Amino acid sequence: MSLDDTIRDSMLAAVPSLRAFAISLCGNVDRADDLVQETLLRALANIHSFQPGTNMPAWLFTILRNLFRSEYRKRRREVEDADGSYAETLKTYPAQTSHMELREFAAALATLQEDQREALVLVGASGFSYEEAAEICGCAVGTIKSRVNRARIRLARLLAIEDPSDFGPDRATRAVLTGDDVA
Amino acid sequence: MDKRPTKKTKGQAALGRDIQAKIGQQLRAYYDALIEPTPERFADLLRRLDKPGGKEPPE
Repeated sequence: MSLDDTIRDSMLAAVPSLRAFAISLCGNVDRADDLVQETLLRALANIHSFQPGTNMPAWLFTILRNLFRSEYRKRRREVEDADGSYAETLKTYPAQTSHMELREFAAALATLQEDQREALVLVGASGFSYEEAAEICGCAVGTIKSRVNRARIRLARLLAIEDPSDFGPDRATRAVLTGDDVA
Repeated sequence: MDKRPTKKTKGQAALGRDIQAKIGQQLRAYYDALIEPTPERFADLLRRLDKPGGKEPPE
């Protein structure tokens, strides 16, 4: 069967975000690339079950998430390396958010429970609705909402985000604690 | 649809809007920094597997 150009294009268009999702799941770029490759292979093998015109990204994210769950999670997640691994991927970053803030965020995200992390990323960054995220994760919409909420609360604690006025001094304090340069 | 109110325990109070916004902004910045153009290996893979005979892509 020859792959329809539209389908191939929609698969390729989904890859950058799929890859970012994979990195946030497994905390390692090389492993994430393997995961994406396996996802594409699996998708191609099952392309007959994809309904043209339906949500290609959601379909691919579902496959990737299931692969991660069934195979990759057996290996121990390299939490201790999450900060360094993420830092390597940081070639450019938005001016509003400092490099250090992003690394701190990545490290905090890595400590979240897997359920919460994937729900938060799908809804807050990959651009899926709560309903789509629930389908991808195979659970109820209410479950996704509760996981996202718990993930945010945990992150707020880890990153010591209490109040907007805290950002200035607290950042400096954290810098002292982590030995990073403030300037 | 589930319309039950969210059960709020002590550690699960809703966060203020400012805090949610800050986390959302950092999350998007984190994710955006991971976005790169599709690596060529994936485009290659799809091109190669497009053909059932497994024809290699031209070098």
